[in-house]
Amino acid sequence: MTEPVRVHLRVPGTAPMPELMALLRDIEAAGFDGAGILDSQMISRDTFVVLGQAAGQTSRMSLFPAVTNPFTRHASVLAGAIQTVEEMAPGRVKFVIGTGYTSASTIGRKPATLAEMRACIGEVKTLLAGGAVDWGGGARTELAFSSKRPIPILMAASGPRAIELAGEVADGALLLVGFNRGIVERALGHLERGARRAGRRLEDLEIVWAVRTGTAATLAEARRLARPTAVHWGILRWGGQWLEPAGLRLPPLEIPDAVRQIYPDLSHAQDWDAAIRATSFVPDDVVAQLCDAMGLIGTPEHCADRIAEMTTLGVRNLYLMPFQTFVGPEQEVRAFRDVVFPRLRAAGLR
Amino acid sequence: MTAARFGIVLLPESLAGWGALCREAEDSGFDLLGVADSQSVFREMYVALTLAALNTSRVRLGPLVTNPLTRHLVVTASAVSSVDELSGGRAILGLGSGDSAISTIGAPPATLAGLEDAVVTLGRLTGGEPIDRQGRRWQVHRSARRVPVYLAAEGPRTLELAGRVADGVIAGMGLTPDVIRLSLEAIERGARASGRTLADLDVWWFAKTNVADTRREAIAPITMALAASANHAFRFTLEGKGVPPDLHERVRCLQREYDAHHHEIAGAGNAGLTDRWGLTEFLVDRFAIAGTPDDCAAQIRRAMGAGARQFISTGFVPDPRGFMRRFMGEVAKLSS
Repeated sequence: MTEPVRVHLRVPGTAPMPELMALLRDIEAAGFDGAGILDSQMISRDTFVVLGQAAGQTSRMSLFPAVTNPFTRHASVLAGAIQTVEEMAPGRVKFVIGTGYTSASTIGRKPATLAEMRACIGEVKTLLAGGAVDWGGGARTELAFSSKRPIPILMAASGPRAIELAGEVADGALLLVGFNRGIVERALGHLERGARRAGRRLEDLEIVWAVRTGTAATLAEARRLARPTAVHWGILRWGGQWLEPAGLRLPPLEIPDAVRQIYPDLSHAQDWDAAIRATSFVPDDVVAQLCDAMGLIGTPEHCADRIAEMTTLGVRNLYLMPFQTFVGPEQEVRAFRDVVFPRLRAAGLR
Repeated sequence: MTAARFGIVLLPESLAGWGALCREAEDSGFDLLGVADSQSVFREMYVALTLAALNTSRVRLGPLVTNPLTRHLVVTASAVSSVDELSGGRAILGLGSGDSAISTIGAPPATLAGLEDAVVTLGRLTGGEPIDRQGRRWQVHRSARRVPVYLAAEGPRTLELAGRVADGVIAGMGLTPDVIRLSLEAIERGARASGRTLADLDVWWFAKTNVADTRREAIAPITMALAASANHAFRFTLEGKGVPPDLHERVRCLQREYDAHHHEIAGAGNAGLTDRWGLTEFLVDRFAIAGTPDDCAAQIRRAMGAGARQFISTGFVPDPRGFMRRFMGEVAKLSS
C-alpha cells in the first residue's frame, strides 16, 4: 500500500465549549488525523484554552493552532504555550504559524512581514529545542520547561515568497494556494527553492495542503454555498498569482462595494446568505471554475475522487477548511466519515 | 470585625496533578485562585486556568497577574472570557505592569498610562463592548459578561490609579499597619476621583506566606519569594514606600543581583539574597504572613487592625497541598 492520505480538519472556536469538545471527539472518532483550532481573537475562543481542553478530550489525533501569528503574542509566550499543550498531548502537537489574516485585519494591523516570520520561527524553534534566545536589553532566556521532544513548526504560506521562506526556515509548510495540478506543481517549485537555500530537499519537509472544502448533496448546491469563499479567494485575493498556474482565465469583473462591507470579510462572513447574495456579480460558470481550482467542493463522492486524483502528484496530507467560520464543520465530519474515508480506504489510500 | 477571607496564587511549574491541586485549593476554603503568568518559567497560564476552571466549581479564578505587553489586549480579553465561559462566570483578571514575564524578554514594564488604558480596555472588551482603535472596531463578539479587572499595585501612584479605574486591587506595598494605611489612603484618593468610595473596590492584600512548626522553618523556604517582593515592589523607586533610609542601598544591591529567570523558584539563586543583604527580617515583617500558626494569625490580626480584610497567600512552597491544608485549617481559624 502507498503512503496513506492524512486528513486534518479546521475547527473554529465559535461554538460554546461543551459543543466544541463534543465536536472534537466526533472528529477523532470519524477518523480524522488531526484538528486545527482557529486563532483569531475577536471571532474565536482562545486557541490555547481550546487546545488545552482538547488535549484531554482526544487521545490519538494531532492538535495545532490554525493558524497563529507572530504579533498577537510574544514569541516566548507562543513557545511556552505550545510546549504546555504538547506536555498534555505528547507527540500529538504541531505549531502552525502564518502572517496573520483575520487576527491582523480585525485589530487594524498589517499581516506580519516575512522578516518577522523568519525571526519568530527562529526564536520559537530555539526555545522549543532548549536553547536560549537573546531578546536584546541584556535579556537572554531559555524556556525553563522545554521537553526537547520535537514539535514540528509549520509555516502557513500562500504567496511565492512566503512559500520559499517556509521551505527555508520551517519544518514544513501549510500551503493555502489552491488544489489543482498546475497550482500544486507551482507551489512545490517555490517550496523546493526555499528548501534548497537551507541545503534541504522537499522530502525533508512536512507538506500540508490547506483545502477549502464544502460538501452538499449536489455539485451545483455545493458550488452555490461556496460562492463567498470562491469569490473572496479567486477574485479579491488571488489576483493573477495563482490563476495562471491554475489554468484559469476570468472575464473582467467589476467588484461592487457591497462585497467589501461584509464582516469581517467575505470568506469569514457571519451572515453567509448575505455573503452569497453579495457575490451575484460573478456568473455561475466562473464560480464553478474557481471551485474546481481551489478546493474540494461538491458531493462527498466528488471530493473523494479529487483527493485520489491529487495523490498522483504526491499530495498526502490535507487540512480541510470548511467555508463557514460561524457554522461548525459537522456536515464535513459526516461526509468524510461516511463516504470519503471509506472510498479512500477502498482505493488503498487510507 | 468581619472575618478574614483568603485567596491563593499557585505557580504552574508542572501540570501533572495541577487540576487536583486547584480542587484542593477550593476545598480548603480559598475564595480566590490566581495563576501566575511568566511564560519562560511556568506553563502557559491560560492552559493552567482552563484546567483550574474544569476542576473547580465555586472559587473565583484568573491570572494573578498578567501584563498588557506579552499578549495583545484583545487576545487577553478573548482568553480570559474563554476561561469565564468555561468556569460559569467565575473569572477575574489580575493585571500588573509586568515582572519576570517582561524582564526575561528585555522589555520595559508598562507605564501608568499603559496600565490605565489596559484596565479600561480589558473591562470593556470582556463586556462585549466595541472599541474603535487603529482604524478598526475591536470587539470580542461572544463575550457575555464583563470580567472584573484587578490592578496589582506596589506604590501610591498605582494604588491611586487602581482606586480610580479598576474593579479591585491587589495591594502589594506591604502588610505593616503604616503601609496598609498609606495604601488605603492612596486607593481611596483614586476612588473619590471617579466618584466612588473605598467600599466600591474589592481590595486584596498580597502576602508571601508559609506555615511551619517554627518560625525559622516557615521562613527558610520562602526567602526567594521575599527577594522577589523586594525586587518588584521597589523597582521604580523607594521613595514614598515607607522603607527606612538605612535599608535603601541594601535593597538596591539585592535588586542588582536578582535573577528573573529563577523567579519564585524555591531553592534557586534568589533564595540567598535576603540573608546576604541583611533584609530577611525587614522583608518578613513587611511582606509575609509566615511562621507558626500563632505567628501567622498575629500578623493577620495586626493587618486587619489597620484595615485589611482579604489576603492573597502564595503557594510558593515545596508542598503547596500541605501548606493549603494547614493555612486554612489552623491559621484562618485562629485569625478570625
